[in-house]
Amino acid sequence: MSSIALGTRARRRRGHLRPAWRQPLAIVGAVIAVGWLVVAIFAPYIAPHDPLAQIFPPSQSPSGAHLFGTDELGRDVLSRVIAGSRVSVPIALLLVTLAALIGGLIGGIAGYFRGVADGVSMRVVDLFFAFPAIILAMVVAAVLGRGLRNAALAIVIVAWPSYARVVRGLVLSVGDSEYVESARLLGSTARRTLFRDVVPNVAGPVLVLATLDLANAILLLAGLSFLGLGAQPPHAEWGSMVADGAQYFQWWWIGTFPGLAIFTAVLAFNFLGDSLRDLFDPQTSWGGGTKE
Amino acid sequence: MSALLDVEGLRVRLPTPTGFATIVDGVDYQVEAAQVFGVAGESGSGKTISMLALLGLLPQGSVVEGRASFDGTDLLRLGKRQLRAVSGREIGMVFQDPMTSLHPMLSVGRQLTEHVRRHLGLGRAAAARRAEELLAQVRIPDPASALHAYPHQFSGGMRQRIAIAIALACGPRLLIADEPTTALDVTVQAGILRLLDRLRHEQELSVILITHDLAVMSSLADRVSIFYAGRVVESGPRPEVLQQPRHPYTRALLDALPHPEAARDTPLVAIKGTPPTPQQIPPGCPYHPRCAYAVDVCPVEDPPLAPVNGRRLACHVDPFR
Amino acid sequence: MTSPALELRDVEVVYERRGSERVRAVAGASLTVERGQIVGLVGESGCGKSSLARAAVGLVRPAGGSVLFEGRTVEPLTRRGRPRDLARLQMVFQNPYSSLNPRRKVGSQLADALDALDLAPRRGRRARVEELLELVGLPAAAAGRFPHQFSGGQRQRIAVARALAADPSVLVLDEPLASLDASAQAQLANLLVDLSRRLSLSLLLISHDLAIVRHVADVVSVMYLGVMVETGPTQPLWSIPLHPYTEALIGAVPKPDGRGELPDALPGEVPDPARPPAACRFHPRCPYAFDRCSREDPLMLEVAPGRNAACWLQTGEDPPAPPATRARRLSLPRVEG
Repeated sequence: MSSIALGTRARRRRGHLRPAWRQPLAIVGAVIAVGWLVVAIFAPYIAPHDPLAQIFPPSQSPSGAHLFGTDELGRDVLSRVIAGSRVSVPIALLLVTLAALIGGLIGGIAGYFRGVADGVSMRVVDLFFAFPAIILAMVVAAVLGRGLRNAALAIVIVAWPSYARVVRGLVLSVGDSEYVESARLLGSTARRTLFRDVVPNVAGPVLVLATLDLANAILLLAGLSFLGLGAQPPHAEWGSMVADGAQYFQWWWIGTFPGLAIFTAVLAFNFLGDSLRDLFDPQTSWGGGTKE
Repeated sequence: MSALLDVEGLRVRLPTPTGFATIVDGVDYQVEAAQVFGVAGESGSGKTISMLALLGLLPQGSVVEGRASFDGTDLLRLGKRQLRAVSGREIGMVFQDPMTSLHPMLSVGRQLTEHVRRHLGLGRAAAARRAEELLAQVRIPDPASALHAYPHQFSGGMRQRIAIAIALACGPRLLIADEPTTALDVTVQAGILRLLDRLRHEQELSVILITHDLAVMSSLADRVSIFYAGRVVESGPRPEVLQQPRHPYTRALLDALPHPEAARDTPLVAIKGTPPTPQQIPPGCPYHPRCAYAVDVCPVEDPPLAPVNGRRLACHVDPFR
Repeated sequence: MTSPALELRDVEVVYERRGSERVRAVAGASLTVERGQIVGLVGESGCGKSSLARAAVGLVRPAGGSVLFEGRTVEPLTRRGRPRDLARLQMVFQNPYSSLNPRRKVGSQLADALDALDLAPRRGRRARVEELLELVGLPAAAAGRFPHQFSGGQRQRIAVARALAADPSVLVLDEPLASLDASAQAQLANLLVDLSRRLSLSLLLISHDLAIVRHVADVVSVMYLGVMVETGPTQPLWSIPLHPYTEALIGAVPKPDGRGELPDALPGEVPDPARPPAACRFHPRCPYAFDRCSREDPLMLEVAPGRNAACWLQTGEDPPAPPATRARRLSLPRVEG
């Protein structure tokens, strides 16, 4: 109805409702995410103590000397949380990138060539989707053996099908769109339209998916470690630290601070992903210009 | 004889993130019994919103002023329940796209009987009979089987006839048809226009016909009104307004249409500029920036809709006297 | 004699519906666009005009018949690029909201043809894009904006400019005016006529709006349920339609003359293209149908120079006369139903 359309147009024109309440969140998300990245990169220099050193009085509550307290083996929790970021954040980034590349390639081939390639790859994707992610990850990690490397592999295996489906769908719909048809009529080869028309329309959604997936990857990695399938002791990893903390409930700081770390990192990437979605939509005021 | 519907000073403001937008800014018109009243205007002229205001179908937080007297009762002062009773029984509405105004998952018969049972309190059998009658009235072939069919099984023209049947289910005295034929092919449109004409005569029905297509309005309406930027700029009997338009906008709208007698290859006359959005209504007469006859007073003072020789005109200049 | 700009001979377009039902959207239609001519193709929903348009430019492979562009067969698009000599056959689509890539700037999209066909040196591209925008009446600054920042009418003009970038000699336009308001329609119609005259551009304009087609086209072809029923120069076709469907179509157009005359309705509905009536496809709805109409499919006959009609009422012996007159002269018994 015209009134609703009017509202939407007004919103988009001023960039008010949608980006307005998303913008502060984007900034918050970006700040926290970048914060963790910085911490992860400079961890050895930031951490006040060696995360593996069991030299302090054990189970000390948070104090001036140990901001996050010490754990049951006498290690500084703050240093361990900082060291844990080295595992969670960059590895999650690497895994998501790998999954996106693998999934995107398979999905792209399926959407571009259609026919048999499409049929076969999508049935494989369906197969993977039949299992809940955490179960599949657990099975893979259990089969391959404990350890961070195998947990990472498990996560990539679990994550790529989403990208395959999304990219395939986008390549198909964009490929059938009238603007691609008219580009073909104007003489563009299929390959050329792939790069000029298809990829720009695919890149945005994939980036959004990847950013949100980062949050999932961090969570999944922590979850596997929590179950004992990922990072092995004495490695400092948020998930296994939470598992530890669950055992020693009375010393709440042991599990709470790593838990908070997981929470803030996941939230940050979720905010970031949502705002990226708006950024890539050329119709919002800060995505490409206002309507005349 | 007093009019069936008498609208005076209708003003509608809709809430937007940046404050209120005045979509309808002082609209006056009267619709007599058994009359087809045409409302013409481009998109954004407020023609649809002004009708939705009568039926209480505006979004939350809208502000409505003025008076809309339907058979003596002011629709704008009624409470929600009373309005629903009146509008359900006395006023029917038909929209442009029958696919979205008909429920896709309910059978045609069910949609008809539901309406009839709620407002007229008929029993199941009586309602079913009435439903079949209604379908026959709108000339749906084989009404008995049509009752059990679903909207998607019908063509666009048939669906619109069904929508009209539903609108007329309770025997209303007024039918508001908002662009009822815009989405239809020309031969199908002709069928719907003839149907509306027949129903108008058979059932003493008044019709408000909202359309951007002046030719459609010309073939069916008795009286017409031209909307621009939320107000009426000209209204009067159809032959006079369309054959001797006096408002520059009406004249421009008619000139933009291809003329059967015009030599081919003469360019069509397009109106310069675009209609203003509610946030950008120019001061004074809203049409003055696009008007070829504007004078000094036009950007300053908003001309009132005044009676002039049997019609009503909102123009300082009246250039085609 | 030079070959026509665009020629479609007995074209058939078939597509598969859900449930593997084959539907002949176009069942043998012929149409010719001479050089510099504007041909209007009219018909209502389901007549197959869009499918015909797509076949005409090679977006879909015809199941039968042939399409010739300046005497050369038009091959359907494959994954490889379109043959270079077909570049001068271009199309403008109906929906201005989906025919432009929302994520690319207008200027970049206009330059597609220039890049693909190497029509301007790198440095000259910007200038050419500005020229194209000027041709369609848009400011040069439009090149730096995105499609969603323009109105429907402006977007349609951008789409036309994009097609013009390939320097076409034939432009097929599929309902270009349909989603525009009256003023934008008038502007676009004027632009098309102007471009056609100035650039000697042949146009195949598909539209359901008879009034505009009448104003713009030199020749009109009328299509019904996948076949062509009548073709002829606009003015004579309008004053003396030869086919009953043309007559019905013209009679159904409402007039804005303030006289309050209701347009003529055509009884019945358009049949399902998958199950067309036997013999003459229009006969179940035709007020003049007689026994031959349901037995034999009428051939397209040249009733007068340049005027063709596919109707058993027309024999071509007498000067062109409308169906009512012909029926009277032939004193035919009417078939019931």
